[in-house]
Amino acid sequence: MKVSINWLRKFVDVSETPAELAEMLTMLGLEAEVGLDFSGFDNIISAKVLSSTKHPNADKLKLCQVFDGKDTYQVVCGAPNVNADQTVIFAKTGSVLPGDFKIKKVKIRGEKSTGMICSEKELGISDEHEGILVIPDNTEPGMHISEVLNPVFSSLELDILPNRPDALSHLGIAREIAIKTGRRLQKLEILSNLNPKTKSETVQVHIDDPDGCPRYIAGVVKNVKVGPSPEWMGDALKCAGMRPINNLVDISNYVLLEMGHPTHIFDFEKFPEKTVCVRKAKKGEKFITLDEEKHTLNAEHLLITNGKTPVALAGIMGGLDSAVAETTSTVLIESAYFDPVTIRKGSKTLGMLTESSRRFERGADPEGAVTAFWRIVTLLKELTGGELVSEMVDSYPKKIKPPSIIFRKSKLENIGGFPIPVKFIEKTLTSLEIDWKKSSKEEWKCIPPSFRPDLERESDLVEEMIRIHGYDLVPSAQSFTSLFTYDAPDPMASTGKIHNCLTGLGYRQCFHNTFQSKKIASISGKTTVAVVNPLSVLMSDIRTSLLPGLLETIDYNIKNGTSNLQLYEMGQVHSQEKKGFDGIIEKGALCGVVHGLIHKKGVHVDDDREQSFFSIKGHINVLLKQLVHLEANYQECEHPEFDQCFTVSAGDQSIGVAGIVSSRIVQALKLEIGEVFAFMFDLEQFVNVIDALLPFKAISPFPIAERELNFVLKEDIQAGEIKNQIIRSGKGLIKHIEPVNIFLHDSLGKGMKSILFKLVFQSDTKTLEDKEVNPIIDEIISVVGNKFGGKLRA
Amino acid sequence: MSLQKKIKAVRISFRTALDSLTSDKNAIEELRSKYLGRKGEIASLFSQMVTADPEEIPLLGKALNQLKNDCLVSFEKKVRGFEKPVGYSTSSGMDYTLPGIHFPVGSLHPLQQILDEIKDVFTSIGFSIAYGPEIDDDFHNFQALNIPKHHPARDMQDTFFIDKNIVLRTHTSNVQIHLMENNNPPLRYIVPGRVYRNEEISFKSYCLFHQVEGLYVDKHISFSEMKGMLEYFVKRIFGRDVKIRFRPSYFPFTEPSAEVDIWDEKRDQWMEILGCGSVDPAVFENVGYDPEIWQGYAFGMGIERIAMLKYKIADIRDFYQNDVRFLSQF
Repeated sequence: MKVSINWLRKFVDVSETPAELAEMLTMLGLEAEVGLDFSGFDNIISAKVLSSTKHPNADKLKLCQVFDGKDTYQVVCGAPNVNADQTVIFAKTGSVLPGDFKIKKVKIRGEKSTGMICSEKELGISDEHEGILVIPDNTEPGMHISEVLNPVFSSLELDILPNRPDALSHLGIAREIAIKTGRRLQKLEILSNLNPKTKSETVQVHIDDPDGCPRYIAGVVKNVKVGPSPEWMGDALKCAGMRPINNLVDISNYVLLEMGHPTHIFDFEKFPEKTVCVRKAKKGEKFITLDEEKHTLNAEHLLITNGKTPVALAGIMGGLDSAVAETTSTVLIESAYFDPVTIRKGSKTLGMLTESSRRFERGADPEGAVTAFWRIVTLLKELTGGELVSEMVDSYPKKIKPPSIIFRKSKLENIGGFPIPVKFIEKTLTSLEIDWKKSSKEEWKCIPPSFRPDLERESDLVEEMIRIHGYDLVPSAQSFTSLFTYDAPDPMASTGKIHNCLTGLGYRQCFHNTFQSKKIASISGKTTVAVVNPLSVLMSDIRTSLLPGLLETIDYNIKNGTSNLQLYEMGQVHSQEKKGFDGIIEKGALCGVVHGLIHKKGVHVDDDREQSFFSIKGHINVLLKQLVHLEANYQECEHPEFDQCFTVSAGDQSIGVAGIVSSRIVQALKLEIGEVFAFMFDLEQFVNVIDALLPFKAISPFPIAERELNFVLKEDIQAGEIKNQIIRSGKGLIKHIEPVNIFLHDSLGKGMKSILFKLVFQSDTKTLEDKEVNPIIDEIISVVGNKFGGKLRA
Repeated sequence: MSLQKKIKAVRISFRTALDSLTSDKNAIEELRSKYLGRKGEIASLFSQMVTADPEEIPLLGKALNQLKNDCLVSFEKKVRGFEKPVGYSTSSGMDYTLPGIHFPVGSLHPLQQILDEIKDVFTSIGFSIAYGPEIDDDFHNFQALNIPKHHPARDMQDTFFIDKNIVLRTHTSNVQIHLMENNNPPLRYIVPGRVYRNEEISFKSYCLFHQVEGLYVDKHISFSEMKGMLEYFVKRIFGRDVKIRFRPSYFPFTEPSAEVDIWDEKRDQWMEILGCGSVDPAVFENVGYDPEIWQGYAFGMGIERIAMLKYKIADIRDFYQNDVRFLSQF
């Protein structure tokens, strides 16, 4: 909201600079920035136009001589309203206008122009750019722009939070300044004797929906003369960011910005029955608002009618047909209190956020409706000559009672954590215009003012006290209290170990968008959870897998000059396992991918070496050996995201899968990358395995015995099958076994290969001798021979 | 001499020659051609096989192949051994200026690093960590936090809906409610996690971000203690000389509410870094805690924002692009 500082001065003394004022209001919770402040704009001054003649080479331009009190400057000016003897704002060459616009010496159509006569738009006052800004004649030339314009146009930009409807007005802001500084707050000017002695006009108000419209005040004013508003009002509106239109519209807007209460002025001729009705719209009812938009309404929208046809969308916008015109002479004033939820629903469903709806949906002032009515009548009389000719009809079927709150000093100090004196409390209650009475020692019975709907409970008053006291003055505790908790502070602490291990292995952690297209999110074969109101179709569903994001990142990096990648992400994935909210399953996931070369040819490496499935297997081996102290087991399986896939388990616990990423996904993502190898773990299962405590095993003091077995086997037999068989036959004495060489050659026989296994035997109870090891070796040779047709290589 | 014996002899003489081989290029080539060349000794043995007893031929072939293979392997190993030390050392010693053996470099994402830092600060002063669902019902994300339907405060958080009553959480405060529903006071937690806002993506806003939210409920937990604790937190993250201010704000679930700003020297302005306040009694009532007995504070911060301030990152989208040139700087 834009706030005119000059306007604030009507209600409270302001001696602060705009910046100081912004700071004060910000620290009161009304976040403020300086809007317009001309003090920094040097070389922009008041000046007299000595002469204005037609530019010799251009029809629409004028050649002006401008005098700044010392020198005369020639300026080419395009404004139609420039004339000799005007006093104007003149920007000399070298000056900088708002928006960083630098004024340079130029030639325009052959005539030199040294400076610029400014319009309101160029000065940032309004959008008016047709003509130059003309300032009062009695202004001395040569004055700094801030001396001339700051008194009228300096302003603040405020961000008012939704709980403070009262602060959406100049009076409300002035009240906050008065409370903080202890200065006096001026009342609104309302003329006395406005009530006519004889009521020549009547109007009836029927409220069909008292819940939607608890209060409706109306009155008729005759003999208004429509015309432009006086300069002071126009300037005030402009400064607060509103365009002056005519005195009737301006008066309603002025009161809105002045005291925050929205009113409406109708042409009374559009009320032939002299009746105002407030009712719910019928489903499908059509209505055209002032902005010439046609709306189709539903049964929740609230309408103002003239008894027959609708004239306004209550609290949101008036109708096109009932708007005041140049010829209007009798008007109906509406000053009502509409229910916040009703107005908000209406404004939301119609997509119309207006100055009026903004105030009603946050909670207007039910008593302010009366004040606003008289303020409108006052201004109509002063500015249009109109006279109230009816009584103020006040229909108030659903009285809004202010709450009565018991406020305790003890509660305030418990919450605040520091002492606050009784004197400060009582002074602040008064300045907040709270009606209070001491109800017992250090306890007050409080009735908040009707313009503060946010003050409903004791805690609201606690906040007001601490806010007015100043957050900067709240003492900061110098020590903290805590609680004994008997669980480890972070149930997912082991994820830290995973991060350490993976980054140590050379993986870079990534964070990807949760949202994907339905197509991409469905590749995993899972049913996706979809968003009703996505940002785009490419972001319509929630990811079911971390893999697509990582694949896209591989592609992105290669295209941006980084190849040979090892990446991982740890994050949440969602799937819809069955219908409904309970069917949405969220899981923590861990996914790693490798792509490109593991080693590049260099001084230490003879040849490029590509990543392979065995890189992933090696990394998983490190993860499991380091974090779980178990071997990983692999079992071939089917998986929609892999061309070849294996389940990975630690002990008996399956923790995820690993394999060669499906080329189908790479194509679906339209990526230009070749083979990718990946692992994908269920994070909770992995963490459970990590957190399971494995007891220490005593180190065997007995020597090891090493043996080698070189089997010749059919080429299609996997090393792991033989290895497992050897372990099974090993009577628990095999500490370690590993294939160390595989030799494939026709000399072994067609379709045969040899695998050389290295075996390490060790007992925990004694030194092993040949007579114990040899029978085991014989047994292994015999079993491998029987089951796999393996023979020892000669 | 039988062919078998010749094979043995060649094996021995090759081994002897290889042992005394020097790194001299000519000597290497001479040895290679003498034994392994097309007209070398091993080739000549193969050609002599035709004269052998046919019954012996398979055995001889096998032995010859073995010989050829063994000689080749050990020759290459020896020669490779000559090459490397030459490259690693100069006449004045080892050339330590050569690069080290390459290993891939890993990195933690900057958001993870900031999150870890934040977790460390809070756990060091006794907070526990809790996690909760990213998709939740309207009650936990809004209503229980004193944000009724049709309340203007809903405009403060643009929401993604899964259906009318189910949302992608707009803050991790939903976990506050789950915690209080499932535990008796006192309690003291921080809740990190991903949250979602239906905002157009630009340099300053993304459709999701990460939050750390905190909650402390006990009988005596004051605004003043919150202020001291959060000042401590901010100083731990931004350094003890950082300028901090608390200013009044509004959140439906806290009262009094405050926004915490730090002074940004470079931008010459205050920058918002977290929101906080005393827990609103309505929230306690919604979870069945008696607000006359229990009080406390809650706070929440965006990790992206803190990371951007700390590392001077101008564009929030950088966090989700995962450009290695970006990731490798953290």
